[in-house]
Amino acid sequence: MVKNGKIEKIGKNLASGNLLTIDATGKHLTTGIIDEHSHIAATSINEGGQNSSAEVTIEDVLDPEDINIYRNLAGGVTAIQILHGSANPIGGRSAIIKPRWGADAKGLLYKDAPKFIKFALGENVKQSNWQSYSRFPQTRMGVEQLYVNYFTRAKEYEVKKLSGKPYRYDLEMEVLVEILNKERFISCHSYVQSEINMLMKVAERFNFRINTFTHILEGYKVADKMREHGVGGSTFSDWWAYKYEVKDAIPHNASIMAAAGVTVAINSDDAEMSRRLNQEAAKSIKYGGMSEEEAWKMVTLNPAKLLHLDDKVGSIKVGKDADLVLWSDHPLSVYAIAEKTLIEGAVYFDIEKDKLQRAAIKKEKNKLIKLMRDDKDKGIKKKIPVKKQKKQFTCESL
Amino acid sequence: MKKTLFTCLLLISVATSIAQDYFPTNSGLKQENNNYTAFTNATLYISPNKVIKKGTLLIQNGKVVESGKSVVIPDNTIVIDLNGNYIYPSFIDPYSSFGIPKTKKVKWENGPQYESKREGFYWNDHVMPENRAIDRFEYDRKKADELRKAGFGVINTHIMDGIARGTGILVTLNDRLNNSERIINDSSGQYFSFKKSEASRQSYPSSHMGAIALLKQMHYDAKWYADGHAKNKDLSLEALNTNKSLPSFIESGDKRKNINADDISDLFDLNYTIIGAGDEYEAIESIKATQSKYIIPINFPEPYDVSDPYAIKYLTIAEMRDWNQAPTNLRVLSKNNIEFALTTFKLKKVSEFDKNLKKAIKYGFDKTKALEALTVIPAAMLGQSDKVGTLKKGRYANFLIMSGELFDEETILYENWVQGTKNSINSLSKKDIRGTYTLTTDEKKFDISIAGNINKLKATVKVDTLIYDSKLSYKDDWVTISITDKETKDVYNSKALIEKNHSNFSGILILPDGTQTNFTALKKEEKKEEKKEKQKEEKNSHVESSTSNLSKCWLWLFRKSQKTNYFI
Repeated sequence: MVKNGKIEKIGKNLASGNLLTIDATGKHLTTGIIDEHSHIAATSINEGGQNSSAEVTIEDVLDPEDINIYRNLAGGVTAIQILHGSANPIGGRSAIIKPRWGADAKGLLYKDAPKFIKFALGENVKQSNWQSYSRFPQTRMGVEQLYVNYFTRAKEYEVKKLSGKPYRYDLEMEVLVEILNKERFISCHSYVQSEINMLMKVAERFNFRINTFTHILEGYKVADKMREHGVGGSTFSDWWAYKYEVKDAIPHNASIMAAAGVTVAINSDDAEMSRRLNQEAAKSIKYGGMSEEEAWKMVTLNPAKLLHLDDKVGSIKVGKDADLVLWSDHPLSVYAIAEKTLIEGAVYFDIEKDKLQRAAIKKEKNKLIKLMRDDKDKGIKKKIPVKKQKKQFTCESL
Repeated sequence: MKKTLFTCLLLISVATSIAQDYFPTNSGLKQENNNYTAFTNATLYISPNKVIKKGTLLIQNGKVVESGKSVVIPDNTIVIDLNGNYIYPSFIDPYSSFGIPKTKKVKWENGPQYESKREGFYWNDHVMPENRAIDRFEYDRKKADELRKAGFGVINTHIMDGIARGTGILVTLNDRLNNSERIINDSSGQYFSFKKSEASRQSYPSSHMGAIALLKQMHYDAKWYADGHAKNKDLSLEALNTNKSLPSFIESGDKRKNINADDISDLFDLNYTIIGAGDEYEAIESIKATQSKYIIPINFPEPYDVSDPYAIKYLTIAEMRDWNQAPTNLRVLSKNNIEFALTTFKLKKVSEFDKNLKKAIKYGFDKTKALEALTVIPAAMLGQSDKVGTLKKGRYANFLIMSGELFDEETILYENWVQGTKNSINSLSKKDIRGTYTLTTDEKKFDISIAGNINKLKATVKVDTLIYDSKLSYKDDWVTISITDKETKDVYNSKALIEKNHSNFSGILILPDGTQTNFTALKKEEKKEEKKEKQKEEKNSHVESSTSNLSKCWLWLFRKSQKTNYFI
């Protein structure tokens, strides 16, 4: 039973009274899927003009009209972290959204969400794969020095700020101070074990912890150290061999990290994969023999934990947000289709309504074609329609 | 610049009616013209909401001396009886790059450039608040002529390049005066945008979110600098601080960037006027919530060619709705009580302005609101209401003389006066000669129908049902038509004068055999019912979409997602 957007009661034969009842006979009801790493619904992803861009935020560039929001709903996704890309070691701040299709940019934002920022390591940040030799750092060693330099400056900035003396307000430093004060969490793009160790050590030196390593395809090598540090892993199920630094990736990564006691999530980083994260989670049952329940947690409760939202979302529990998905089949099955997706009790996707809307749009299109054909404004040259490539962002989109 | 000014002075000062009183004259006798000119019997719009029937407008030295119902006309006044014609304050375009040479694109070099290349300025080359439009301004006569034809008398201009663009100037479109007199304000405001400069390759900001952050940091730094804490010299921040009290304008780019602009404005209490993009109607609730003032372009999307059934598949419902609904933007903004001015910015040609504005009016935009958006509102945005925007006492004598109500399809713009200088667009005796006529000779009866744009008339000539080739021109009350019989190649040449009180025209016709004969072409009265029917047809045919922008991009559903190279 759902009331005022929250889960009110769970059980059998609940007093129905004045309630709207949805018959779910033969179907599966689950909590909504949470995607820890996505780049949809934004008009820009990377600010690569400097080696640190902590001053920028994805919240400024949300695109509430991106069709991928709707497609994510159709895949049962109800909360998403839109991350900055991996162009620089210190990236931009995240936007955590609920895919409320039809809301404006501010309406998408997850209310009072914890603060996050993207960091990145490896080939991308030292600009190995394109001809750019003028930006520091150019090596993995330099990346470490950059972090140390920025955090040292942030400490000095805070001291000056608290001293009461005049200080230059610095958007970038303000954000870094939040990290030092454990008010903002880092989700870090990472592949290679040496760098993963490096960043954990830098964080420990400044007395904070890295929150999440994302991608983390070599996480299985350092899972024990990750557990010790207290960092989670948000990874792919079986996506690898796309560049040199991922040559050691294995599909058992998620299972191994989970077995070592790391909080593990499966993410999309991709507008297409985010529509079938239920299937991605299921793959860990095959690779590594994870239980169904643990596998399902990797796209629901675990990413909720990584985003510090597990008190509100991530499972069906009295008092949590009514973010629910009604599946046609077992959600870990490839045959499962999301028939209804609810966010805080409101239906945002309904497969039956979808059919009607498609028909309505077809009709409207025909009407507009007729109007366009009959447009008699002679002074105007009519444009020839061309195929449009919609830009889809990944970590490296500049 | 100095040289141009000097040349201008030399060439024009003789013809200038308002001569600079302390400048010596060596090209002739020094004289002053302090004549009054009175326009009487006018339907006089002193402001968009104050109209006086049979009013008088009295001007002298480029300014309005008096305007109203009973105006005392001094001795030696040139009196022009307007016989019921209309006078409106002329338009103001608050956003342009008029007279400013286009910024040259910087040369391409290998590899990105991360650092600034300037010294003594802000650390980012896209921030140039120290730029001054007055330093680069060269009055553009050709463009001025186009603008006057569209009804404008004053234009605001700036260097349209970079994220902080410096100050602009407000200038009248007066060809006869020089810059020393036509420039109303040499620092009309400060200008900003989210777009990088063409003149620099500096990488930062490489994204829209970076541009937002840069604008914010720039304002924080300006405060830091103003308080005297910076150790270095920064001419950019100095200029930003000096010009702090000027009106500020920011070009957004689209409906969502309007919101970003407003956020920055609120954070630093900047009171930005936002230059919108014409798509505000799609997100009107959030636009309304900004409580900002806007300047809105009217470059409506062009229709698509829908004759190829395969090409149609590429059309998204979003694009089609844009085309269909964009002309409602002004109506929607105005209904939501959002204050906005109009501009020719974004139009490919100034001549599209009139056509597009009329289209918006057809789609429900109120005519009085349109006039406000072209006069009093931009004047107030620029803080110049005491000089331009109305025809009250003391304002610039910038006005339009028209045959009827503004924005009516049949109204002719006769004259566009700027600072008391007459610019004739159409002869005051010019009439709307569109309609159907019959011209009868001894042997033939020609049916002539004249249609098209009032400045670009076209004739169709028929004898019974057979169409003859024809050429038409109408200038200074004379109608010239030549008709050619396609089969026999016989040519009929004619020239005729428009009659004073109606639209018949009579003159001489040269027949194919050389005989000259007098003729009169009689205008057929259009039946009132037909007229009504026509208007009905023209009424807007746009689809009011029942679905919101919720399903705007719906059509993407039908297409498979694009394949991208994955660099993860």
